[in-house]
Amino acid sequence: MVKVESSFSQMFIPRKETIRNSGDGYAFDVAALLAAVGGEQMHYIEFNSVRRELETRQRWPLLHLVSELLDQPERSADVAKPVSLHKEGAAI
Amino acid sequence: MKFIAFVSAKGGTGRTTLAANLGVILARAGHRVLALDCDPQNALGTHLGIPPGLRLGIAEGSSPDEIIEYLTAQRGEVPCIPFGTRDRDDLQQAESTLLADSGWLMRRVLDVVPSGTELVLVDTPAGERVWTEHVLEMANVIVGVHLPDAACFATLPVMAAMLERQCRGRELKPAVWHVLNQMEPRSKLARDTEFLMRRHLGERLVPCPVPRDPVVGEAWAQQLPVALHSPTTGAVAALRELSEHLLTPLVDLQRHTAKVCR
Repeated sequence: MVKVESSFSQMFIPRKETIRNSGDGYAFDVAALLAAVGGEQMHYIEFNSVRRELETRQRWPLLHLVSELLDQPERSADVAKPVSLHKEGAAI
Repeated sequence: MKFIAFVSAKGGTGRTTLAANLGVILARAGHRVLALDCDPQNALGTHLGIPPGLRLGIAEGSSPDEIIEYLTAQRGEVPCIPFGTRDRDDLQQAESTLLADSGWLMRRVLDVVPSGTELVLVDTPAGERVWTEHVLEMANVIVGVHLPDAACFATLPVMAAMLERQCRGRELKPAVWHVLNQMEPRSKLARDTEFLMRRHLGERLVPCPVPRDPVVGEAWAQQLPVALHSPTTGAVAALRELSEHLLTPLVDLQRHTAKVCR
Protein backbone atom coordinates (compact mmCIF):
# COMPACT_ATOMS: atom_id res chain seq x y z
CA MET A 1 0.00 0.00 0.00
CA VAL A 2 1.43 3.36 -1.00
CA LYS A 3 1.31 6.34 1.31
CA VAL A 4 1.80 9.89 0.08
CA GLU A 5 4.82 11.49 1.68
CA SER A 6 6.21 14.86 0.67
CA SER A 7 9.78 13.73 1.33
CA PHE A 8 9.34 10.87 -1.10
CA SER A 9 8.38 13.07 -4.04
CA GLN A 10 11.22 15.46 -3.25
CA MET A 11 13.66 12.57 -3.36
CA PHE A 12 12.45 11.43 -6.74
CA ILE A 13 14.95 12.06 -9.51
CA PRO A 14 13.64 11.05 -12.95
CA ARG A 15 15.85 8.94 -15.18
CA LYS A 16 15.54 7.97 -18.84
CA GLU A 17 14.69 4.36 -18.12
CA THR A 18 11.65 5.14 -15.98
CA ILE A 19 9.29 2.18 -15.86
CA ARG A 20 5.70 3.20 -16.10
CA ASN A 21 2.57 1.65 -14.82
CA SER A 22 0.24 0.80 -17.70
CA GLY A 23 -1.65 4.04 -17.22
CA ASP A 24 -4.71 2.31 -15.88
CA GLY A 25 -2.79 1.59 -12.70
CA TYR A 26 -4.13 -1.88 -12.08
CA ALA A 27 -2.49 -3.61 -9.14
CA PHE A 28 -1.88 -6.62 -11.38
CA ASP A 29 0.36 -4.47 -13.58
CA VAL A 30 2.32 -3.23 -10.61
CA ALA A 31 2.80 -6.75 -9.28
CA ALA A 32 3.91 -8.01 -12.69
CA LEU A 33 6.33 -5.14 -13.14
CA LEU A 34 7.81 -5.64 -9.71
CA ALA A 35 8.31 -9.31 -10.44
CA ALA A 36 9.93 -8.47 -13.79
CA VAL A 37 12.33 -5.73 -12.75
CA GLY A 38 13.06 -6.50 -9.12
CA GLY A 39 13.42 -3.89 -6.41
CA GLU A 40 15.72 -1.47 -8.23
CA GLN A 41 12.93 0.27 -10.12
CA MET A 42 10.41 0.09 -7.32
CA HIS A 43 10.66 3.82 -6.55
CA TYR A 44 9.56 4.72 -10.07
CA ILE A 45 6.57 2.42 -9.90
CA GLU A 46 5.64 3.71 -6.46
CA PHE A 47 5.91 7.24 -7.77
CA ASN A 48 3.52 6.46 -10.60
CA SER A 49 1.10 4.84 -8.17
CA VAL A 50 1.23 7.90 -5.92
CA ARG A 51 0.71 10.18 -8.91
CA ARG A 52 -2.22 8.05 -10.07
CA GLU A 53 -3.81 8.34 -6.65
CA LEU A 54 -3.35 12.12 -6.55
CA GLU A 55 -4.81 12.49 -10.05
CA THR A 56 -7.74 10.25 -9.19
CA ARG A 57 -8.51 12.20 -6.05
CA GLN A 58 -8.35 15.50 -7.95
CA ARG A 59 -10.58 14.19 -10.74
CA TRP A 60 -13.30 12.90 -8.41
CA PRO A 61 -13.71 15.13 -5.34
CA LEU A 62 -16.27 12.80 -3.71
CA LEU A 63 -13.88 9.84 -3.96
CA HIS A 64 -11.20 12.06 -2.43
CA LEU A 65 -13.41 12.92 0.56
CA VAL A 66 -14.29 9.27 1.15
CA SER A 67 -10.62 8.29 0.87
CA GLU A 68 -9.84 10.86 3.54
CA LEU A 69 -12.42 9.22 5.79
CA LEU A 70 -11.03 5.76 5.12
CA ASP A 71 -7.51 6.97 5.87
CA GLN A 72 -8.55 7.79 9.45
CA PRO A 73 -7.54 4.82 11.62
CA GLU A 74 -10.89 4.58 13.42
CA ARG A 75 -12.71 4.29 10.08
CA SER A 76 -10.25 1.96 8.46
CA ALA A 77 -11.57 -0.65 6.05
CA ASP A 78 -8.76 -2.87 7.24
CA VAL A 79 -10.85 -5.53 8.94
CA ALA A 80 -10.43 -9.27 9.05
CA LYS A 81 -7.71 -10.24 6.64
CA PRO A 82 -8.70 -13.38 4.81
CA VAL A 83 -6.96 -16.72 5.24
CA SER A 84 -4.79 -15.95 8.26
CA LEU A 85 -7.77 -15.37 10.50
CA HIS A 86 -9.08 -18.79 9.65
CA LYS A 87 -5.95 -20.56 10.76
CA GLU A 88 -7.42 -21.01 14.24
CA GLY A 89 -10.21 -23.03 12.74
CA ALA A 90 -13.93 -22.46 12.73
CA ALA A 91 -16.79 -24.86 12.90
CA ILE A 92 -20.52 -24.57 13.08
CA MET B 1 -21.26 -26.78 6.97
CA LYS B 2 -19.88 -23.34 6.12
CA PHE B 3 -21.82 -20.12 5.64
CA ILE B 4 -20.93 -17.58 2.95
CA ALA B 5 -22.81 -14.29 3.44
CA PHE B 6 -23.30 -11.70 0.69
CA VAL B 7 -23.62 -8.15 2.03
CA SER B 8 -23.58 -4.58 0.80
CA ALA B 9 -24.11 -1.19 2.37
CA LYS B 10 -26.37 -0.03 -0.48
CA GLY B 11 -28.96 -1.74 -2.63
CA GLY B 12 -28.68 -2.76 -6.26
CA THR B 13 -25.09 -4.02 -6.17
CA GLY B 14 -26.00 -7.52 -7.35
CA ARG B 15 -25.67 -9.48 -4.09
CA THR B 16 -28.58 -11.76 -4.94
CA THR B 17 -27.47 -12.38 -8.52
CA LEU B 18 -23.93 -13.16 -7.41
CA ALA B 19 -25.11 -15.50 -4.64
CA ALA B 20 -27.41 -17.45 -6.95
CA ASN B 21 -25.00 -17.76 -9.85
CA LEU B 22 -22.02 -18.60 -7.65
CA GLY B 23 -24.21 -21.25 -6.01
CA VAL B 24 -24.82 -22.90 -9.38
CA ILE B 25 -21.14 -22.75 -10.34
CA LEU B 26 -20.09 -24.23 -6.99
CA ALA B 27 -22.72 -26.98 -7.27
CA ARG B 28 -21.51 -27.83 -10.77
CA ALA B 29 -17.96 -28.00 -9.37
CA GLY B 30 -19.14 -30.78 -7.06
CA HIS B 31 -19.97 -28.92 -3.82
CA ARG B 32 -23.18 -29.64 -1.92
CA VAL B 33 -24.67 -26.17 -1.92
CA LEU B 34 -27.81 -24.64 -0.44
CA ALA B 35 -29.06 -21.11 -1.09
CA LEU B 36 -30.69 -19.30 1.83
CA ASP B 37 -32.55 -16.04 1.40
CA CYS B 38 -32.48 -13.80 4.48
CA ASP B 39 -33.51 -10.70 2.52
CA PRO B 40 -37.17 -9.67 2.86
CA GLN B 41 -37.12 -8.79 -0.86
CA ASN B 42 -37.42 -12.58 -1.32
CA ALA B 43 -35.68 -12.52 -4.74
CA LEU B 44 -32.98 -15.20 -4.41
CA GLY B 45 -35.36 -18.03 -5.31
CA THR B 46 -36.41 -16.35 -8.55
CA HIS B 47 -32.85 -16.93 -9.83
CA LEU B 48 -33.10 -20.60 -8.95
CA GLY B 49 -36.42 -21.63 -10.43
CA ILE B 50 -38.73 -20.75 -7.52
CA PRO B 51 -41.81 -18.78 -8.59
CA PRO B 52 -42.16 -15.32 -7.00
CA GLY B 53 -44.81 -14.79 -4.35
CA LEU B 54 -44.24 -18.05 -2.46
CA ARG B 55 -45.21 -17.62 1.19
CA LEU B 56 -43.13 -20.51 2.49
CA GLY B 57 -39.72 -19.48 3.77
CA ILE B 58 -37.13 -19.06 6.49
CA ALA B 59 -39.00 -16.15 8.12
CA GLU B 60 -41.50 -17.04 10.83
CA GLY B 61 -44.70 -18.65 9.64
CA SER B 62 -43.49 -21.86 7.97
CA SER B 63 -42.81 -24.99 10.00
CA PRO B 64 -39.46 -26.78 9.64
CA ASP B 65 -41.29 -29.83 8.25
CA GLU B 66 -42.90 -27.70 5.52
CA ILE B 67 -39.52 -26.25 4.53
CA ILE B 68 -37.77 -29.64 4.50
CA GLU B 69 -40.56 -31.12 2.38
CA TYR B 70 -40.32 -28.20 -0.06
CA LEU B 71 -36.52 -28.57 -0.30
CA THR B 72 -36.87 -32.27 -1.05
CA ALA B 73 -39.33 -31.54 -3.86
CA GLN B 74 -37.10 -28.97 -5.60
CA ARG B 75 -35.46 -30.05 -8.84
CA GLY B 76 -33.19 -27.07 -9.48
CA GLU B 77 -29.38 -27.08 -9.60
CA VAL B 78 -29.23 -25.51 -6.13
CA PRO B 79 -31.93 -26.09 -3.50
CA CYS B 80 -33.11 -22.79 -2.07
CA ILE B 81 -34.89 -21.76 1.11
CA PRO B 82 -36.72 -18.54 0.21
CA PHE B 83 -37.31 -15.74 2.69
CA GLY B 84 -41.03 -16.10 2.13
CA THR B 85 -43.55 -13.45 1.21
CA ARG B 86 -44.50 -11.47 4.32
CA ASP B 87 -46.64 -8.40 4.89
CA ARG B 88 -45.42 -5.48 6.98
CA ASP B 89 -46.91 -6.73 10.26
CA ASP B 90 -45.39 -10.20 9.79
CA LEU B 91 -42.01 -8.64 9.08
CA GLN B 92 -42.17 -6.45 12.17
CA GLN B 93 -43.09 -9.50 14.25
CA ALA B 94 -40.22 -11.53 12.78
CA GLU B 95 -37.73 -8.73 13.39
CA SER B 96 -38.95 -8.36 16.98
CA THR B 97 -38.27 -12.07 17.46
CA LEU B 98 -34.75 -11.67 16.10
CA LEU B 99 -34.06 -8.68 18.32
CA ALA B 100 -35.25 -10.54 21.40
CA ASP B 101 -33.56 -13.87 20.65
CA SER B 102 -30.05 -13.71 19.20
CA GLY B 103 -29.94 -17.46 18.56
CA TRP B 104 -33.27 -17.75 16.73
CA LEU B 105 -31.96 -17.63 13.16
CA MET B 106 -29.16 -20.10 13.81
CA ARG B 107 -31.54 -22.60 15.43
CA ARG B 108 -34.02 -22.12 12.61
CA VAL B 109 -31.34 -22.75 9.98
CA LEU B 110 -29.98 -25.84 11.71
CA ASP B 111 -33.55 -27.19 11.94
CA VAL B 112 -34.12 -27.02 8.18
CA VAL B 113 -30.79 -27.33 6.36
CA PRO B 114 -30.32 -30.91 5.11
CA SER B 115 -27.47 -32.87 6.66
CA GLY B 116 -24.52 -33.21 4.31
CA THR B 117 -24.85 -29.63 3.08
CA GLU B 118 -21.35 -28.31 2.55
CA LEU B 119 -21.87 -24.64 1.70
CA VAL B 120 -24.79 -22.35 2.55
CA LEU B 121 -24.83 -19.19 0.44
CA VAL B 122 -26.83 -16.54 2.26
CA ASP B 123 -28.35 -13.43 0.72
CA THR B 124 -28.95 -10.46 3.05
CA PRO B 125 -30.73 -7.12 2.77
CA ALA B 126 -28.71 -3.99 2.01
CA GLY B 127 -27.45 -1.94 4.94
CA GLU B 128 -27.48 -2.65 8.63
CA ARG B 129 -30.67 -4.64 9.13
CA VAL B 130 -31.30 -7.09 11.92
CA TRP B 131 -31.29 -9.97 9.40
CA THR B 132 -27.83 -8.99 8.19
CA GLU B 133 -26.47 -8.78 11.73
CA HIS B 134 -27.68 -12.29 12.56
CA VAL B 135 -26.36 -13.75 9.30
CA LEU B 136 -22.96 -12.13 9.82
CA GLU B 137 -22.74 -13.66 13.27
CA MET B 138 -22.82 -17.14 11.79
CA ALA B 139 -20.84 -16.45 8.59
CA ASN B 140 -17.51 -18.14 7.95
CA VAL B 141 -16.92 -16.06 4.83
CA ILE B 142 -18.33 -12.55 4.26
CA VAL B 143 -18.48 -11.20 0.72
CA GLY B 144 -18.99 -7.44 0.36
CA VAL B 145 -20.44 -6.67 -3.07
CA HIS B 146 -19.74 -3.26 -4.62
CA LEU B 147 -20.31 -1.44 -7.88
CA PRO B 148 -17.41 0.60 -9.32
CA ASP B 149 -19.14 3.94 -8.81
CA ALA B 150 -19.09 6.91 -6.47
CA ALA B 151 -22.25 5.86 -4.60
CA CYS B 152 -20.76 2.51 -3.61
CA PHE B 153 -17.37 4.00 -2.81
CA ALA B 154 -19.10 6.50 -0.55
CA THR B 155 -20.62 3.63 1.45
CA LEU B 156 -17.25 1.94 2.03
CA PRO B 157 -16.72 3.60 5.46
CA VAL B 158 -20.19 2.41 6.53
CA MET B 159 -19.42 -1.10 5.30
CA ALA B 160 -16.05 -1.09 7.07
CA ALA B 161 -17.64 0.02 10.33
CA MET B 162 -20.40 -2.60 10.03
CA LEU B 163 -17.94 -5.43 9.44
CA GLU B 164 -15.64 -4.19 12.18
CA ARG B 165 -18.51 -4.25 14.68
CA GLN B 166 -19.50 -7.73 13.58
CA CYS B 167 -15.95 -9.09 13.79
CA ARG B 168 -15.11 -7.41 17.11
CA GLY B 169 -15.03 -9.84 19.99
CA ARG B 170 -15.56 -12.92 17.84
CA GLU B 171 -13.18 -15.66 18.75
CA LEU B 172 -13.33 -17.18 15.29
CA LYS B 173 -13.09 -14.37 12.77
CA PRO B 174 -14.74 -14.77 9.39
CA ALA B 175 -12.75 -14.30 6.21
CA VAL B 176 -13.80 -11.06 4.53
CA TRP B 177 -13.62 -10.52 0.77
CA HIS B 178 -14.83 -7.62 -1.33
CA VAL B 179 -15.99 -8.05 -4.92
CA LEU B 180 -16.41 -5.42 -7.62
CA ASN B 181 -19.51 -6.32 -9.60
CA GLN B 182 -20.61 -5.00 -13.00
CA MET B 183 -17.14 -3.66 -13.79
CA GLU B 184 -17.05 -1.44 -16.87
CA PRO B 185 -13.42 -1.19 -18.05
CA ARG B 186 -14.24 1.54 -20.59
CA SER B 187 -15.41 3.88 -17.83
CA LYS B 188 -12.72 6.08 -16.33
CA LEU B 189 -14.74 6.46 -13.14
CA ALA B 190 -15.05 2.68 -12.82
CA ARG B 191 -11.30 2.22 -13.31
CA ASP B 192 -10.48 4.99 -10.84
CA THR B 193 -12.95 3.60 -8.28
CA GLU B 194 -11.34 0.16 -8.59
CA PHE B 195 -7.91 1.76 -8.11
CA LEU B 196 -8.96 3.54 -4.91
CA MET B 197 -10.85 0.53 -3.56
CA ARG B 198 -7.74 -1.59 -4.05
CA ARG B 199 -5.68 1.09 -2.34
CA HIS B 200 -7.96 0.91 0.73
CA LEU B 201 -8.93 -2.78 0.75
CA GLY B 202 -5.67 -4.31 -0.46
CA GLU B 203 -5.79 -8.08 -0.90
CA ARG B 204 -9.34 -8.22 0.46
CA LEU B 205 -10.58 -6.85 -2.88
CA VAL B 206 -10.57 -10.00 -5.00
CA PRO B 207 -8.48 -9.63 -8.16
CA CYS B 208 -11.24 -10.75 -10.52
CA PRO B 209 -13.98 -8.11 -10.89
CA VAL B 210 -17.17 -9.41 -12.48
CA PRO B 211 -17.70 -7.53 -15.75
CA ARG B 212 -20.97 -5.79 -16.60
CA ASP B 213 -22.74 -8.14 -18.99
CA PRO B 214 -26.36 -7.93 -20.16
CA VAL B 215 -26.60 -11.72 -20.40
CA VAL B 216 -26.68 -11.90 -16.59
CA GLY B 217 -29.99 -10.03 -16.48
CA GLU B 218 -31.33 -11.90 -19.52
CA ALA B 219 -30.56 -15.24 -17.88
CA TRP B 220 -32.45 -14.18 -14.75
CA ALA B 221 -35.48 -13.11 -16.81
CA GLN B 222 -35.48 -16.58 -18.36
CA GLN B 223 -35.15 -18.16 -14.90
CA LEU B 224 -31.84 -19.72 -15.89
CA PRO B 225 -28.48 -19.49 -14.14
CA VAL B 226 -26.10 -17.52 -16.36
CA ALA B 227 -23.68 -20.47 -16.32
CA LEU B 228 -26.35 -22.43 -18.23
CA HIS B 229 -27.73 -19.56 -20.30
CA SER B 230 -24.37 -18.25 -21.60
CA PRO B 231 -21.60 -20.52 -20.36
CA THR B 232 -18.83 -18.99 -22.48
CA THR B 233 -19.24 -15.33 -21.53
CA GLY B 234 -16.68 -13.29 -19.62
CA ALA B 235 -19.07 -12.90 -16.70
CA VAL B 236 -19.24 -16.67 -16.21
CA ALA B 237 -15.46 -16.98 -16.46
CA ALA B 238 -15.10 -14.26 -13.81
CA LEU B 239 -17.68 -15.98 -11.58
CA ARG B 240 -15.75 -19.28 -11.83
CA GLU B 241 -12.54 -17.53 -10.83
CA LEU B 242 -14.36 -15.76 -8.02
CA SER B 243 -15.85 -19.03 -6.71
CA GLU B 244 -12.36 -20.52 -6.39
CA HIS B 245 -11.07 -17.39 -4.69
CA LEU B 246 -13.85 -17.33 -2.10
CA LEU B 247 -13.21 -20.93 -1.09
CA THR B 248 -9.49 -20.41 -0.46
CA PRO B 249 -9.85 -19.70 3.28
CA LEU B 250 -12.20 -22.65 3.67
CA VAL B 251 -9.71 -24.98 1.99
CA ASP B 252 -7.00 -23.67 4.32
CA LEU B 253 -9.36 -24.25 7.24
CA GLN B 254 -10.07 -27.84 6.21
CA ARG B 255 -6.33 -28.54 5.90
CA HIS B 256 -5.78 -27.02 9.35
CA THR B 257 -8.64 -29.02 10.87
CA ALA B 258 -7.35 -32.24 9.30
CA LYS B 259 -3.88 -31.53 10.71
CA VAL B 260 -5.26 -30.90 14.19
CA CYS B 261 -7.32 -34.09 14.08
CA ARG B 262 -4.37 -36.29 13.09
